[in-house]
Amino acid sequence: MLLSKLEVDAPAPTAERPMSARDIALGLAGYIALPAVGLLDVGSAGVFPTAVAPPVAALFLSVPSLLVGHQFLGLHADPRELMADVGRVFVLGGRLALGVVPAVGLYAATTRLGPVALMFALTVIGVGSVELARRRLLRREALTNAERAGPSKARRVRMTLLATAWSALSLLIAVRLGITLLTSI
Amino acid sequence: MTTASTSSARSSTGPRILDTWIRLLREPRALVDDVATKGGIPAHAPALLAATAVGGALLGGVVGSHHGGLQTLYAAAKTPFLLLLPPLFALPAVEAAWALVGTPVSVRRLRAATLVGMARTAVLAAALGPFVWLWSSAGVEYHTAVMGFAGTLVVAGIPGLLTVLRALPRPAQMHRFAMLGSLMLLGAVFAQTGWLLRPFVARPSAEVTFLRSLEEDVFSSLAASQRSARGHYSGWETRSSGFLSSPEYPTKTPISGSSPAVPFTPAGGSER
Repeated sequence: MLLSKLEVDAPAPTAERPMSARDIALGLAGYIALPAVGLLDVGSAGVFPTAVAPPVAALFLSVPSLLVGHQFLGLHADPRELMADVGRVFVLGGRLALGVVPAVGLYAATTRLGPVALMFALTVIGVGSVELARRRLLRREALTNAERAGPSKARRVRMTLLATAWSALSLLIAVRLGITLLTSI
Repeated sequence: MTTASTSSARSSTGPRILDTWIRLLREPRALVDDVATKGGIPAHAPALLAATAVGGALLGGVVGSHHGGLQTLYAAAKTPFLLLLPPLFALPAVEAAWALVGTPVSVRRLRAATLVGMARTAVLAAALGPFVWLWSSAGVEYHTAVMGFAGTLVVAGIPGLLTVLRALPRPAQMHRFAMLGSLMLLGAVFAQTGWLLRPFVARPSAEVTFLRSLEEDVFSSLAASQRSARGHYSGWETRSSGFLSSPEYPTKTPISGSSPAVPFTPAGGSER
């Protein structure tokens, strides 16, 4: 399970279109708009930062650990490329959050389920994004290994453990902040 | 002479409605490809939207005829919106989900697939209409009629939904995440839209209204229906919900459908 195979059909990270400023702005807007809409019926502005915090804090608190661990374990991928991979998934996750805004807004406008819809959306987006980032990190390391050092099972195992541990850490941080959000609503 | 040549030019260049409807049933993927080409949406949208409106109205009329009278017209007017509104809320998320899993889909193709999927569902629903009418005209009970309506929409909706999903490129990674997430979102939005547009099958004793006020949500209604199916007819306390609703006192709605909603006073308290 931990040593899951890389998907060969997936586009190589290097072949992707670079992110524009508009892409980044839309992604960040999603992380702000989703809590703003989901909490419309709650009426307390103090809750809003708590709802924005889980994805942002999960990213900023966990990425340094990922980079330090990556270098400590002697792995080969460029740390800037790893950061770019995680950042790209973060922005695309924000776009998904922006895309979910109309549906969450529908529930917030017509039912008392706005906060529930918000928590559900954040959970699905969080789990999906973290898993996607994990796969990208594994692919990035595998590509670098193939180019530079040749395949090595030991490095593959180390990278798989590192990426999995990082994804677990990110999710745990997000869950911890999510509990704070739940108790403050 | 001029009129004839104009008419001939129109029939040769613009897609004819009947042709589009036939392709809708026989070759939906090819039709999506056509609609997704440049200029395809303006050319095909009238025929596809007409199919959605006519098909939805036919099924709605059949369903509303269970109560009869004005409810037939109301349900016929509302049912097309039951098909048209959910994609407006769900499509931005579907587009973003495909971008997230690394297989971006163009907005034009997504719109084309949705137009074709909606129209296909509506046409199939219209075809099922006569069967539903025959069945409900035999005097089926209110709750059974509601279930029949929902079942008809599911049966007609599956081919339409498959049309949409098959028209999208297969994501290179996390295929199930994108598919399942999109389906769940569409289902949740569709359910709540149906709840907001109710009643379609009005209770036999209820006063006919075009729309009911905002109260509770589709999930609490389903839970109440389950309780009533188990024989617990204790009533259902409904409250205005969402930031669009106006605050008001809760009412106790009978699940059995024997009498209209009555004001509800909390036990031991008085109406404020």
